[in-house]
Amino acid sequence: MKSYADAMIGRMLKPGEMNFSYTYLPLVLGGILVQDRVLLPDEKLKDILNELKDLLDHRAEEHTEDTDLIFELQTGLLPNRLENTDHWTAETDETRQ
Amino acid sequence: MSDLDDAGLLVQKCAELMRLRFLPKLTRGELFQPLLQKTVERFGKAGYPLLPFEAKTMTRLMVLLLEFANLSVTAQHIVDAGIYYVEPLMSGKVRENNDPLILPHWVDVILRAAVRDPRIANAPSKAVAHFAYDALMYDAVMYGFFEIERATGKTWAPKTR
Repeated sequence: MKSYADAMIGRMLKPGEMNFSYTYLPLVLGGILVQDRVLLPDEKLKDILNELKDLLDHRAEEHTEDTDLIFELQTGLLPNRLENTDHWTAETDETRQ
Repeated sequence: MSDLDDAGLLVQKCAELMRLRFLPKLTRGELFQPLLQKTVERFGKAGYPLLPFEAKTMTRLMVLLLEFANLSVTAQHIVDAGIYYVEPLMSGKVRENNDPLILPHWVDVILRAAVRDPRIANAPSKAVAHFAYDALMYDAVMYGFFEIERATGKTWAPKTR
């Protein structure tokens, strides 16, 4: 992990070196997992999850054999984990009332 | 060895400044916009312009680590915070042995900057974005993998290429 973090920071310091994989794994994917813990006053998790569903459509050209894992995580495991949080359940119940 | 080589001495020198003036201002309201702006700027310069959702998402991860620093103000969860909960260290608590003190990277960088110029405590969000952005990014990479491992139940050994 430390060598990966070093490599990632190294790419941040060189113009043109950053890419999809280093951006998403783990920063965007990790960020997706903590969305419900850092909501801003005007934000609702439900709206963020709706945006998340379309996110990788905008990065479709990045989908290769090498990045397949990232797409799989983003579209499968991570949203499911968020949708099972208490916050999401409470908000959904409130919306249904 | 200079004082700046020892994390324990760094903490001693800056503990009061950090506890009273710096840590209480590490909240999403203070931090989010400066870090979002820096994230957009840095990834653009590095050659991968971010979509707005991507920039906000990774900014949240960084803000979370900073909110872990002072749980009494931010109400983040102590179990998740781990080494990022540094307020007790700044209160002289916790250290029960002489093992080397392990600080989050961003804290180490901020303490060194505060030793050189204590005025950085006047504007914590700007100080983090200016002096400690890369160190915070490093911490975010490590914590991001922790969250992904927790969500997937898998251990990751990412390739560096």
